[in-house]
Amino acid sequence: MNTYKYWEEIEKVIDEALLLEEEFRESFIKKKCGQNPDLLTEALEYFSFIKKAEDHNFLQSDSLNTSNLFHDLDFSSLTDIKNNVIGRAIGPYQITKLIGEGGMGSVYLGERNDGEFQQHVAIKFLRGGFFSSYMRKRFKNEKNILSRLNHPNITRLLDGGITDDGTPFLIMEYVNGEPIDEYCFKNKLRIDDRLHLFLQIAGAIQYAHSKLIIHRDLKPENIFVTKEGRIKVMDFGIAKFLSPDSEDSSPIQTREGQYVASFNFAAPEQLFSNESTTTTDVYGLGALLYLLLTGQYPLRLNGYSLSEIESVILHTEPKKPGKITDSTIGDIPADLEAIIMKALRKEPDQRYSSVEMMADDIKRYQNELPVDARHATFGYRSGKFIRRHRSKIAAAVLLIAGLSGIIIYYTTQITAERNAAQHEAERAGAINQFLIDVFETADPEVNRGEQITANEMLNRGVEMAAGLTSQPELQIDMLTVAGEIYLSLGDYDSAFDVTEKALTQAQKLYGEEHVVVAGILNSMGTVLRNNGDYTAAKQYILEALEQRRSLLGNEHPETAASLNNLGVTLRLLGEYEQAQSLYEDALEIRRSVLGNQHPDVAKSLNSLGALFSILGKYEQAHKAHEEALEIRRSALGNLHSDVALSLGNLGIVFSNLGDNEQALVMFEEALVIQQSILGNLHPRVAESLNNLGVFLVSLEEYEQAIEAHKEALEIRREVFGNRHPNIASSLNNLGAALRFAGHLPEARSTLEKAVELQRELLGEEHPSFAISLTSLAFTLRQKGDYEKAHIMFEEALIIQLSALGNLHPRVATLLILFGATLRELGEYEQAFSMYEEALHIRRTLLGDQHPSVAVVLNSLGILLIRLEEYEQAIEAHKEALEIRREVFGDRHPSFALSLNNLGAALRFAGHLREARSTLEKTVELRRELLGEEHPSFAISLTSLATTLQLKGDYKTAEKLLHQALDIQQATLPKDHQRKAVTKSLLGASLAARGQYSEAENLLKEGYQTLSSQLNPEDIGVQQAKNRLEEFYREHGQP
Amino acid sequence: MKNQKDITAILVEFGNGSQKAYQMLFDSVYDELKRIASKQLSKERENHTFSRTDLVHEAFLNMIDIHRIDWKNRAQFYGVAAICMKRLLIDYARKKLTKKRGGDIIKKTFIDELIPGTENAKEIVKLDEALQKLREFDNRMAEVVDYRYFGGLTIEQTSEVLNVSRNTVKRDWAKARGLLYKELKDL
Repeated sequence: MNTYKYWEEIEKVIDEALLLEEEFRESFIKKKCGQNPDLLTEALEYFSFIKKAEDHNFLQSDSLNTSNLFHDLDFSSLTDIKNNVIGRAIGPYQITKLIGEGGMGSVYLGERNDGEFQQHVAIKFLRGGFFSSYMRKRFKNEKNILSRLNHPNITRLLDGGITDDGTPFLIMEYVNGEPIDEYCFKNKLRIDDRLHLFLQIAGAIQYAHSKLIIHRDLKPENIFVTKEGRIKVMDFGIAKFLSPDSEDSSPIQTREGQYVASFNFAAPEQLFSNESTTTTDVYGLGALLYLLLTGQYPLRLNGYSLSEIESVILHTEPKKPGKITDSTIGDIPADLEAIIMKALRKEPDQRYSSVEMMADDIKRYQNELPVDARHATFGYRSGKFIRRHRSKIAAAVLLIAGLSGIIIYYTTQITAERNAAQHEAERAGAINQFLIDVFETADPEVNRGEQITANEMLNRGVEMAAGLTSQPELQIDMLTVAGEIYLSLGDYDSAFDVTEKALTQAQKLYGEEHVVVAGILNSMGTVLRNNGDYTAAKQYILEALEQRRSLLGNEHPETAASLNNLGVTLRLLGEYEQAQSLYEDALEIRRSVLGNQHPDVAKSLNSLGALFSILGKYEQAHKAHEEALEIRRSALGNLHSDVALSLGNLGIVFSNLGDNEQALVMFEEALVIQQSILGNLHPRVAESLNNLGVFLVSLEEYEQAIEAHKEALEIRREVFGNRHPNIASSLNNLGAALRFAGHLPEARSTLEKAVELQRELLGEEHPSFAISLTSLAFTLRQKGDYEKAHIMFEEALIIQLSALGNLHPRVATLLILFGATLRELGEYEQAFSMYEEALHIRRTLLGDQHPSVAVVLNSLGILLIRLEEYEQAIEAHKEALEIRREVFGDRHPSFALSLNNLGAALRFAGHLREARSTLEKTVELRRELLGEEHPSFAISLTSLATTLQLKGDYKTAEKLLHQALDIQQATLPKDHQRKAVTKSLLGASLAARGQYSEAENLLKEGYQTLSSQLNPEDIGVQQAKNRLEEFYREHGQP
Repeated sequence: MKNQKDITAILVEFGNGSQKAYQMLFDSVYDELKRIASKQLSKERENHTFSRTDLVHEAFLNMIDIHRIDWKNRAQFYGVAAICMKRLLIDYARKKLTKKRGGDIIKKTFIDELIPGTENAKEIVKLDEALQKLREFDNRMAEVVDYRYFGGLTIEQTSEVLNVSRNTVKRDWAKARGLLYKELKDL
């Protein structure tokens, strides 16, 4: 390979030379090697090869593709045609003269003269050559496609073929006219006349799109105006088979110089892919309109290299047409500017989705209606507003800004719903203007730095809406939007008021049955549901559903939305079977109407998955949430808030399935995504933290759970202020975590706050109020509070029964907690009937094999021991154990719990050997699952130790109890009951082994702690007392 | 074909320096490229042609779980794919030359679009031989040619794969082409 003597020196010099501009390289080499003539000769020779390789594009990536090869193989080069073609006959046509030359080939005038009449055609010889049968076939196909185009503004393809020497040609209608830009400028046309011509072009392109043909190469050279002033668009889709091999299929990647003009009209996506769509032509039309109105190309590309041109097309925004001062036709109206800029967006999906929509907008401008292109302004302005004031403005206002998405979505919906109505554009424009007005009152720059809360702002908007009596349609829209926002702000009463007003007005204006009325009925249902009035909500949504079915049909996305909404309501009413079938119907409609990959399908799957989780069908839940996640990932990208929601839902499923590791990964990933997209101060971040907190409670990581809930609470306070239902729900969850952690006084005060807030915000008949009340009642188990707790439980029960009926899972939950409290009060008979009722409800609603049934059986088992019905207790625990084995498998914390309790029941029943082996299994399982520092592991140790004490093995018992106590000292708060029990037990063991003084201390301490916290009737207190008394009986009272 | 997760894992392993992973990766990528490239030009795909870059990209998307891969691994994949692409083209060019002599008619596949004529097939085989010599002389230069020419990688991608600066790639590319030009064209 290398024949150079001085290679090392040469390489060094060449390396340096290559860093220089081309023109300096040779002199640099000469200077460096001047001392050694042999070296110089060799270096210059090598350099000459480098240059030749460069000049001949040797091994350049496109030299492997066909273009170079065409040259070698194509025996009919263009020069040959040029020289020979004049005078030749192509079919019935005589070629008379060359009328044009371009990158794609040469165009000749052909004449047909059969004596009677004369006909002119344009004959286009295509460059490139067709050397394979495959290419010929394709050419024929394209020809067939083009011949389908039959439109007054499109040049007709008359014929086409391949000459004997292999050159393909097309025979086209001959257009006697001039390119559109020249025509406009020469005749100094007014804007309106230019638009008139432009709409003809758009009509032609729209027609072609309806035939599935994309032009791809719109530019003035392809658009002529005839003598009669008619537009003729030519060269449809030609670019596509001009150079169809490998990388050259897009019109702009051909040899330098020839196609540079096309860059001015090329959409960004054309640079890198062949995937032209109708929106590619929208871009081309935008660029054309830009040129026609300003006399300039949208982007300045002169004097740039190819790669620089690419970068400009990809990244540089065109100068606003209105800013171009040397415009030949005066000022460009803002609406037209907006239209052009929308067509020229870099992202295809941000442009007009069809040529028709672009043309419509221009017509709207001509009729002096607000144009669609300016709708974006609201989002744009609110976006800018947020950026400007992120640090300055009140968080509440930030929330409203965050809601602009809802507003834009909603107003688009409104417009979509009323396509039939007159002047819809006018109204949509008015809505936006109205919102901007409301919005800008919150802008400190407009508002002189005063802070304004979201509520004040909204109230102002509603007041302003009240003044819109002359525009009832706009008024209805505004009230409806205001209702949505009040709902997000948690002001359910105001939401109800304005939505009801909107409904009344709408019924007056449109009649009882109308798509708009149906929409508001649906919203009304949502508002009522949030207000806790599920039954009324159901009625409204049913009505909305009926109307939508009859007005829009069964297979309509709006109908699906109502089905889903009804499903949510019925789920809350505990009517799971019906909810499931509604969700499934909605899902089916969405799949068939919107396709399997639509985000709304994910929404349905999400609802369904959540329901499956409630029903304990975790595998199905898992499947639904997985699919939703996949859809969201592919439709929305990995970093999207909805993706995080799906991850959170999967986390819940994994947690239910006992896969805590996987669950934790999901919850944390969800949180990270939400934080990185939404910042730290967003309701969805709070929701993620809340999920994490609930999960951590189930992991018994109480302190961490408390942290998570506190953080969620802080965010919600920042965002929603102190008085929002979400604050109450955070307080409720925080309170529960505090209770689990044993911080009883703090738990109590937190839950009291939650209850008070809900009483105020939701009223005393709201099921959510009942939930907090229940939670508080369950916490009031300290001495002296039982009576209060009892009253609260009863109050909550009455609320739930009247709101939800007696066959509802929440009623069951309440009965279990009530029962547990009664159990501690020693009211065993009452507790027993509560448990039985709860068991009945859950078996009926959820089936016999549901983990929630196992929970009741477990509580029942514990109670039966108090009732001294040991064999029944064993039965209950055995059934619970089997359910958990079935649902979770035998390596799950819940399974271990059942095993533990079964062991305890066996011990009480006197089956000591069986009890011991069961409890030993429990200890092992918990050691594996939870580790040796877990409080539940400690419980198993004490349970086993008690059994061993009964068997007389005080020595081993003592060892186990010491270990348990160590764990509990490290994990539980100071005066925790469990610790007191362990101390008392340890005292008994020590006494048996003769260590009396230490034994006495522990026995005393255990009993005192328990009796100070619990009712004297409590079995724990009783047992501790018995142990202490037995000690005194044997060793004498001090 | 192995599933996306497997391939992604192998790629990561390869990134950690496993030679075995490289061989597994190479085999899978080669098969996948061949599978895509050998697809008959069916009627519905008539309008869709592939460049080498497209091919490598499509193979990447088919084979790699893009959610679980970082940019470094992506570059490595492109590197492997480029070499596979080269192997594929050369294998195919040799086959084409043999078939030509035997007078067989081969069905049109996407590869035919990448190597359009017999002339080019000859050139590719000759280039491969010259490249072999270059490799013995300066391995990195030959690698740059592999990636740039056969794999269709950009300067930037090549520099990522080789973990050298872009300027180095540019220089090697120019020098290698000079040497190869001298070898192949200077008759």
